[in-house]
Amino acid sequence: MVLMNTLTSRLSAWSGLVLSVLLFLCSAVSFLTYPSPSTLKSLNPRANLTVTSVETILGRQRWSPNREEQEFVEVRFDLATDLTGGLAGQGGRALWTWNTKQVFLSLVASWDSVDPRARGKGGIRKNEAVLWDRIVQRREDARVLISQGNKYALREVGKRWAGIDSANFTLHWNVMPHVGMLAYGHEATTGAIPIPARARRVRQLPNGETVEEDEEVRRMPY
Amino acid sequence: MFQNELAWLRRQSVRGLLAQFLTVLTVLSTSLALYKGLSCVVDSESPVVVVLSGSMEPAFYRGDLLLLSMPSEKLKVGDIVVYNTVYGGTPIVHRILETHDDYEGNDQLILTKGDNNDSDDVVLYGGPSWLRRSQIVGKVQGYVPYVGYMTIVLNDYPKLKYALLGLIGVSVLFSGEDS
Repeated sequence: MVLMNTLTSRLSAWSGLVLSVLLFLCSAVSFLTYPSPSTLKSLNPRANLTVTSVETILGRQRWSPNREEQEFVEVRFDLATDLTGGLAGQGGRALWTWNTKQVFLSLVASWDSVDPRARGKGGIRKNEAVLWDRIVQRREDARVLISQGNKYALREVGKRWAGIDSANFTLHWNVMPHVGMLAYGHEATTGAIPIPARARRVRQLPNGETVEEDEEVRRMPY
Repeated sequence: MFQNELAWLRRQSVRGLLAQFLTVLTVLSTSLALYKGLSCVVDSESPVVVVLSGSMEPAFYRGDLLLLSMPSEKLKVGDIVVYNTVYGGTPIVHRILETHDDYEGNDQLILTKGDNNDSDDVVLYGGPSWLRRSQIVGKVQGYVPYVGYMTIVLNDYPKLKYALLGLIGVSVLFSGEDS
């Protein structure tokens, strides 16, 4: 029993020391490798984001429990950026440190809509939605050069995009460390990109009247 | 085998045992007070959670520890949040995919998705198409790997939990012994 006592007291003393040291180390690492305020607040002057086409269509989601017919905005964009930090000395950015586990990139569309519950009192609802994202695990893979369309649905709460004139597109990044605090920032942004109204087919009746026809409801790939 | 120990136990006074019990109670309530205090500071009812599913891999694995806080400003797209489903059970740690803010007040409609999942979380909401800000437990601010694995092991093997509690109880009982 005497041996047990010394063993347990040694064990508790040792584990107390280990835990305190680990706690201090983790805090220090997190503090040292957190991105600088300038990195957090600024855009990357070398990043290039352009929206090449925007189209509003009527569709139905294929893989969602919500199978309602609603308007979707299909966007095609070009993105070119370098996050490796290799150009840090030449005005580039250093998002990668030895404590970086991965960087999560997301392309976000943000727009204003009128909240129907505001009942004409001018209530503006702010909306943001991710239309594309990527996980970058290695520093070497942090050169992004792509030209593609949405990965996720861009849809409105009110199911229709009528009345929404434009949206801004921004590339967000999220640095996830091996240990420590998560950091968020913006990489590049476009200005206001206009959202076109849904194209309606207009048919002329024999008596001269025109009638709008609904196009067929497209099955969306997401 | 435990003759000495049993004899010693019988010799103990009620007052001594109660004093020891009080010491244990003090330690436990101090820990609880610290945890609840942290809860108040970060404005989240569960400021420390352990990742229980693999739906956020490769960022978070089962057994990682997350530090949460509830920000006073609006939650943003890309934030990683923890919420409880209507089905009860484990809290879910996923990333926000869409936010639609109320024009007044602090409420938001939120859509989430795990990084490792192909589709968003609508099936987990139990009916509504969105989460509300009031259902969010907190936003993930910090991360420590592996530390929470003990919780997972204890949950998966409840007998181990009882054995550990028993061991702690026994060691507390005999901690006042001088020999």
